[in-house]
Amino acid sequence: MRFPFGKKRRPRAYLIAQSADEGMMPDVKSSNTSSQSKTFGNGNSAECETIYSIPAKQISSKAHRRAKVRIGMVGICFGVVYIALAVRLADISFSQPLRAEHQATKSVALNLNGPRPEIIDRNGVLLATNLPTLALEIAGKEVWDAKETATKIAVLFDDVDQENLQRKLERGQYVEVRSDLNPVEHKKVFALGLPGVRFSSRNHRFYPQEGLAPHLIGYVEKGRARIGEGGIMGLEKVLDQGRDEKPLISSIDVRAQQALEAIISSSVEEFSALAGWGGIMDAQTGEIIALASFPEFNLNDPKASGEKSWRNRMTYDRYDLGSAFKAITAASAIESGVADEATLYDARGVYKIPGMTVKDYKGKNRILTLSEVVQHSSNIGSARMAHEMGVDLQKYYLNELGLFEALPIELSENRVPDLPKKWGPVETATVSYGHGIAITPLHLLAAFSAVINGGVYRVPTFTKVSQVQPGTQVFTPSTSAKMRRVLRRTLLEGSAKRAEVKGYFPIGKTSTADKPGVGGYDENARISSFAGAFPGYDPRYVVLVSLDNPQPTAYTYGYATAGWTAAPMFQKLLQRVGPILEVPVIDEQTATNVFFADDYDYDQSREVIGKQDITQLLGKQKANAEKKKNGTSPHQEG
Amino acid sequence: MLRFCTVLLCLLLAAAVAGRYHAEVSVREEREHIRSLEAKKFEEKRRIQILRAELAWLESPERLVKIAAEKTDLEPITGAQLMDTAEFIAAMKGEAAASTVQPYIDSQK
Repeated sequence: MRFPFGKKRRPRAYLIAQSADEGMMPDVKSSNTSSQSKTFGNGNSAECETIYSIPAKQISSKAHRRAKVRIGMVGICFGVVYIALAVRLADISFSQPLRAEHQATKSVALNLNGPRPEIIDRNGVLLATNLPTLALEIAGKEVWDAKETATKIAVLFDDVDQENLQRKLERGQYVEVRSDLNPVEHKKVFALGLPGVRFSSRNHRFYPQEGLAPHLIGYVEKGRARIGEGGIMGLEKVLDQGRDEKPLISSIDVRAQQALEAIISSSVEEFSALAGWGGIMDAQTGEIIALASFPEFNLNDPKASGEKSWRNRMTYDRYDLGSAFKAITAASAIESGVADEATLYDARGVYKIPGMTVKDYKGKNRILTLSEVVQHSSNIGSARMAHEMGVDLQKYYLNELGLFEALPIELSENRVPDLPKKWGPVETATVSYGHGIAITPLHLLAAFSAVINGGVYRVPTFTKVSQVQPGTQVFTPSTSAKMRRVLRRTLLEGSAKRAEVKGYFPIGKTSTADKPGVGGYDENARISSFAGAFPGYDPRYVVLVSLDNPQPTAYTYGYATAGWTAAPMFQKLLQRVGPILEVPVIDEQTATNVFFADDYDYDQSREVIGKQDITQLLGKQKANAEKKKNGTSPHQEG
Repeated sequence: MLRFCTVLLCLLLAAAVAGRYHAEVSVREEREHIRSLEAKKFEEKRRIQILRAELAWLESPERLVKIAAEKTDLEPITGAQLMDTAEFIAAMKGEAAASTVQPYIDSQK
C-alpha cells in the first residue's frame, strides 16, 4: 500500500494504534488478547505481522477510498478556485476596461449634458450658453469666528449684509453668499483663509449677444442653468418644456436682428415714439428671421431695465393695426370672386351705414379701382368691398388667416386676438380697414405673408425649419400675384413711396391706426406700421415695422402717419438686410416680367438666385408666348 | 500522478494569481489614465466653452457696428451699392474692366 502523501511506509504500530483509534481494536482484542499483550511486551515483529495482517488490509482499502474522496474534494476545490480565478481574470481583462470606458463616457456626458442646452442662431452663432463659475458658500458649523468671517466677506462684497450673515453663521446655518464668483473674487476670498468657506462649481447662463433679441431668447432665473428649470420667457422657457440635450437652433439671423433693432431703436428716438417693434419672416417657411421689441433689455442683467421693457410687443401685445387689413380685405374679395384688380368702388364723400359714417383720411374723393383703394388707403372703398363680400366671407378668410385664435407658436408670450363682441355691418366696415379688431403684430405678419407668398398661410416659427411644412392654401397663386401687383403700385404711386429701394422692387402697405382712447379712438395718438415684402416680384421675406405714437418732425412736415415714419423704417431696413440675406438685385424689366408672369416657377426660385436664373425661369414664359403667337397652345404639347 | 496534479494545480493557481495581479495593476493604471484623460477633456471643454462664449461676444454684430463707427469709416453695405456684372461693366465703361470681368462671366455660363 502506498500512502498518498509520501513514499515511506508508516510503522505498523502506528497503523494499529491508528486503526484502534478508528474503532478496529475490539476485533483485534477479541481474536487474541493475551498474545497481543505478549507481543507488545516482547516486541516480536513476526507475530505482530501475523496478528495484524488482515485488519491492516481492511484498513488500507478504507483509507484508500477516503483518501481518494479527499483528493477528489481537494481537486474540486482547486478546480473551483481556478475556474473562479479564470473567470475573474477574464472579467478584469475584457469587461472592466469597457465598464471603465462606459463610466468615463457617462460622466463626460453628464458633465456636458447636465446644464441647459445652448441656443444658437440659424447660422450657428451662440445666443445662450453656460459658463462654469464658482459659488461661495459658508458652512456655519465650521466657522470659528462668525463675526470675523461675516465682516471680511462683507468688505469684499458690497451687497452682503454683514449682520444678517453673522446671525446665520452663529446659528450654524449653511449660507450661499454668491452663486457666480469671478476669478478675481475667488482669489480674494481664497486669500482670506477663513475656515468654513467653500467653493462649489456651478454653471452660469451667459448671453454673448447681450441685448440682442432679448424677448425672443428670453432668460433664466439667476443661478439656474440646468435642463428643465428656471426659464422665464422666450426660447429659454421653451427649453424647459423638453428634455432635449441638443442645442436649440433658433430661426433668427443675428445680422438681420441687429439691423432691425438698430433701425427700430433709431426710429423710436427720431420720432419720439413710446415704443417700437418689428419682425422679418421667411414667407416660404414661416421662420422668424428677426424679431424686435423696443424698449429692450440686456439679457445678462434683465433687472437693470424696468418691467415694461420685458414685454414682447410683437407676440403678446394687441393693437388695432389699421390699414394693412385693406390688403387682406382686397385679397379676400378677389379670392371670393366679388372683385378684381380693376373693380370700381365709389369713394366720393363719405360712406354712411347704420350706426356710423366712414370717412377717408385725405381721400381722393372719386371712384377708385380695387388697386387704388389699397394704394390710397381708402376706408370707404375698403368698407364697400367688405360689404359686397359679406360678413360670412370676411370672417371665413380672417379665420383662415389665423386671426381668430392665439397663434400656435413656441413662445408662451402669446395672446388671443380681441375680436368684436358682435359682428354687424359696422364691424364689417371697421374690420375691413383694421379697426375694432386687436391682434398681435405677429398675427398680422403671418396673415400678410399669406396674401403675397402665393396664398399659403404658415404659422410663424422661432426654430430653424429643416423641412418646410405645407401650409394652408388660403388664396390661389393668381390672387396672390394680383395682390403683389397692387401692393407694388402702393409703393410706386400710393402712400408708401418712401419705402422704395432700387433693385429689390419691394411691395407693401402703410398702416396708420388711431389708438383707443376714452369713449372711442384718440385721433392724436396712433400706431404707425408698414407691412411689406421683398423682393416684390417673388417675395422671400415679409416685414412688419411699427411705431407706437410717433411724433411729427421737421423732416416729415408735421406728419406722423405711417408713410412718413414706418415706410422709411422699412426702406432703411431693406437696404441693410437685403445684402445680408443675399437677395439679388435685378433690373426693372426682369422684375416687371416676373410681376406679370403667369407661369413663373416660384418653387424653383426659392433658392437664392441671381438675375440670370430669373431670366431662365422666365424663359418658359417667352417660349409659351411664342407658341401662342404661332397658334399652338403650350399645354397641348406632350 | 497525484503529486503531478497537485503541482500543476499549484502552478496554475500561482499563474492565475500572477495574471490577476498583473491585470489588476494594468486595469488600475488604465483607469487612472482614463480618469486623467477625462479630467483633461473636461477642462478642455470648459476652456472651449469659455472661448466660444468670448468669441461670440467679440463677434457680436452690435459690438462690431459700434467699434466700426468709432474706429473706422466703414459702414454696413446697402442694396444700393450692389450691381450685377453687366451693370458693373457698364458703370466702368472701360475696356480694361470688361476684359477683366468678361472671362469670368464666360466661365460661369
